[in-house]
Amino acid sequence: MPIRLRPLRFLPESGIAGGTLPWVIGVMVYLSVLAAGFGFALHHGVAGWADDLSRRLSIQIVGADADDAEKQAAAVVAALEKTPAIGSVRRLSEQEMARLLEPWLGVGNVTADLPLPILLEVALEPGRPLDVPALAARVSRIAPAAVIDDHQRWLVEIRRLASSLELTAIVIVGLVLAATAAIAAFGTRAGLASHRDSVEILHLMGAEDGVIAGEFRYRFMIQGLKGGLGGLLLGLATLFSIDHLAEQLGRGLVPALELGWVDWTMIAGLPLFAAALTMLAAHFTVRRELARLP
Amino acid sequence: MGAEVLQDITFTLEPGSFHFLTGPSGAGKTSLLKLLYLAHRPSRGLVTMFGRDITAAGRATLPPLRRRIGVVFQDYHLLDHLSAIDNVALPLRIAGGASEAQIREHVMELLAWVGLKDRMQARPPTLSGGEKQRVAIARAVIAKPDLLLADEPTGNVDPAMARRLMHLFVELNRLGTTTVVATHDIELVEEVGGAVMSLENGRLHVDEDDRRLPRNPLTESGRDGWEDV
Repeated sequence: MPIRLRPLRFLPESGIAGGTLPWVIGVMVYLSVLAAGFGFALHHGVAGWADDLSRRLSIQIVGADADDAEKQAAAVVAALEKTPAIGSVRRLSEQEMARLLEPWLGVGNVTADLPLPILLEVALEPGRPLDVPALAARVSRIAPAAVIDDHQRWLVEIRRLASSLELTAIVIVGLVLAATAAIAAFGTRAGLASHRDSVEILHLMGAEDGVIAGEFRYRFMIQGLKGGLGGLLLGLATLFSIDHLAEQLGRGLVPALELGWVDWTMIAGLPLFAAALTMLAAHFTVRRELARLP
Repeated sequence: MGAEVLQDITFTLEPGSFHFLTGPSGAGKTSLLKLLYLAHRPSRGLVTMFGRDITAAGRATLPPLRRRIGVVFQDYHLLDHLSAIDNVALPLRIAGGASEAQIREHVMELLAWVGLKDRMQARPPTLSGGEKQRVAIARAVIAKPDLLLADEPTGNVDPAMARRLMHLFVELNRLGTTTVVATHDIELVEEVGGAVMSLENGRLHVDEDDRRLPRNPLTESGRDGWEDV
């Protein structure tokens, strides 16, 4: 089949897809930009949080005898400082402990006579693996009252939640793009129906199916690009507005919009992908319809 | 499947032959032409064109054959959103190979020849019936087809223009184009001459003198239609 750089232009300049196709594709790309943006932000937010959490351990020393607890804490700190994979060990002050308890006990309700455990915050050396079960065994030998928490239970739950949300975002993007393809196919069928005479004439003049489909491909690609770029710009504006508002409100549960260049490239590629999808849907729809002609 | 329109038809169009196809309305002229311009496939029987069995040929093999056929449709089949010049240029653009400048020059020359020099940029909805017919004829002959099929090509033009258009067909035929002109116009048939195939009730009767050559109605009939155009 000959490759044509210049389409035949046998279809009218406008109205081939009823004029609504770019709008619908714009909305679809807008939704997928939001879903992808939130998905990527969530992924990076959780990954950063999990990474931070996985590089920390908490050691709690709960003892009925305060002196004994102090001795055990000192022994644990001494042992940890000699461990190569441990970067630093810090004992939380009483003020810090009180602040941690404030959400449950209220401000000013943590009194001096309230027995508090000793809490050690251990930061691991980046890039150096640590055998946590071996360390826990060693710590419990030195300090039987010590309880070591490597946050694994939380990490597993958080990662599971994040994976579910990411999967949801991927499914949304997939569904939106599938709907885009379906809309393009319907649009092509409508375009074909309203230009059936032109298509049949071209067919009878000996135009190859690929040449006729090429005209539809070209038109639908342009429509898809127009709508897609509009949707992308609007989607980015929405993402940055939400990020700005979240920043002003102190972030909270909304992850920061700190995406890598791969993520931005993928988001920027959504209109191209939608246009390509629209083009392919138009191509296959036209080819299928043309195959019915003799 | 509907009722058979054409039955037990056997004929051969010799390369370079000229035939009129006559018959009353509903006799099957358009159906026969549709078989010849590959818009229909026969439900049974055998159609061989350009050395190929069309009945069994795959779809992909038909477009190159269609490009060798020029068709003047009864209802013109022009593309309303394209200018006359772009309508006529379509077969050349579909075939490819010629530059846009060559295509335009060739198309403009032919449109001027059929009397549409001042209507080249006009779109079909603004053209009269006769003008549309001339655009349709120009489109059918622009690529110098091997087979020219015309369905009532002079139905909407005055006698002078009819003779001029027939002149075009006869000249094209003399250059080697096999030509079939379906018409009701018995006067035109008698004036031009040429072999006649007549259809009645779906059956074809072929002129005994199948090789009779047509006369050029402008130069050989004693009448000159040039001034009338």
